Amino acid sequence: MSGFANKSIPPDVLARGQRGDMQAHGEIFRVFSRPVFSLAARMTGSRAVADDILQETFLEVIRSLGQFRAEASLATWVRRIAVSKSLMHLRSAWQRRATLFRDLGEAEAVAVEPASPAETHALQLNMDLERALARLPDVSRVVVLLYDVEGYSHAEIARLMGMSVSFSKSQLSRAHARLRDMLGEDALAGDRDERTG
Amino acid sequence: MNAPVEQRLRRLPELDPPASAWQRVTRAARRERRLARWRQLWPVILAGGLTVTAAGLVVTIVLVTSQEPATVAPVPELTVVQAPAPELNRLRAQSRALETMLRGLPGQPELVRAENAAAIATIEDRIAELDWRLSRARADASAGSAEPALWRERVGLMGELVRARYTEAGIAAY
Repeated sequence: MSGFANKSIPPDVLARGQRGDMQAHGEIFRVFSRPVFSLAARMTGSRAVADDILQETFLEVIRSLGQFRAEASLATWVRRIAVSKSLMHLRSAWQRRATLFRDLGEAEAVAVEPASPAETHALQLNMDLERALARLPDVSRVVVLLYDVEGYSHAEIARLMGMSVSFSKSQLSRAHARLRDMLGEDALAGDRDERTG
Repeated sequence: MNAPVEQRLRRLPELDPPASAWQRVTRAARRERRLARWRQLWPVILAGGLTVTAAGLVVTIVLVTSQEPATVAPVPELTVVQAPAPELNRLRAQSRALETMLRGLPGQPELVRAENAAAIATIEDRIAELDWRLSRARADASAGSAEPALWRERVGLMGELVRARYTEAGIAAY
């Protein structure tokens, strides 16, 4: 489930934030920083880059909050900014060359201390998945995250990334196959629960 | 058996950003606000500098022309000595206006681009060398005619420095 789901900000905090109150901005950051950071880290495959994107996203939020109209939820608006900043980073060839280290899996291992064998097992599965995700090509990884985790449709992904709907679908299918392959799962477990659209 | 990969992706835990992330956002937001204020102010400062320059020029012209007798033809030697003065005054005033603009810029940011920092250091070195040459030109009366050219070069370099420092402050704000 998307980390942005079920996250909301009380209307009075939002109103204060729109008037430039830094304390309200801090509250918005507290609610949305983890989903923004998680999405950016997984889209770019780098915590260091995700840290930059987190900062850029919230600077944009602070700068533009006054213009935010509650037609969409604040969570959707913040997520759109984070996705856009992450895609901008991935489009930049210079940044791609500068990203020498893919540090996601290793950092996770340090960050969490499992308490039981069951937790250890779950953590190991998550780490395997994070590593497999990080090894996907940029475009496939972004498609799989936006579709499977964030719930975007193929039409939305195609528009965001400037490609066709069928390209988005084929990227998703290929990404699933590669992930299953890397995780050693049955390739036939396949596309049984894929959404349409 | 493990859940399908799509479900496992949806269940991945959230990652914690670095603890200092919010402090860095607030610092950058403050820097951005300062820069926005500066962007609004600098045309005013520039206009002020130009006004001072123009006023200085007018005063100099009035002083010079008031010293010339109306009925006597100008002495060639007198023209040679006094002609550079208005231009010198104008160049000095321009240089002062640029110094004022430079002081009004935000201080050096924590993060600087190496290429920009190197350019700034080179310009500052050239200005220091030029100041030394200017002090020698002033001390040496026979070299007095070199002063306008040196001041012209200084104004050009000061302009370059203001642009480089402005770029540096702009880069750091985003």
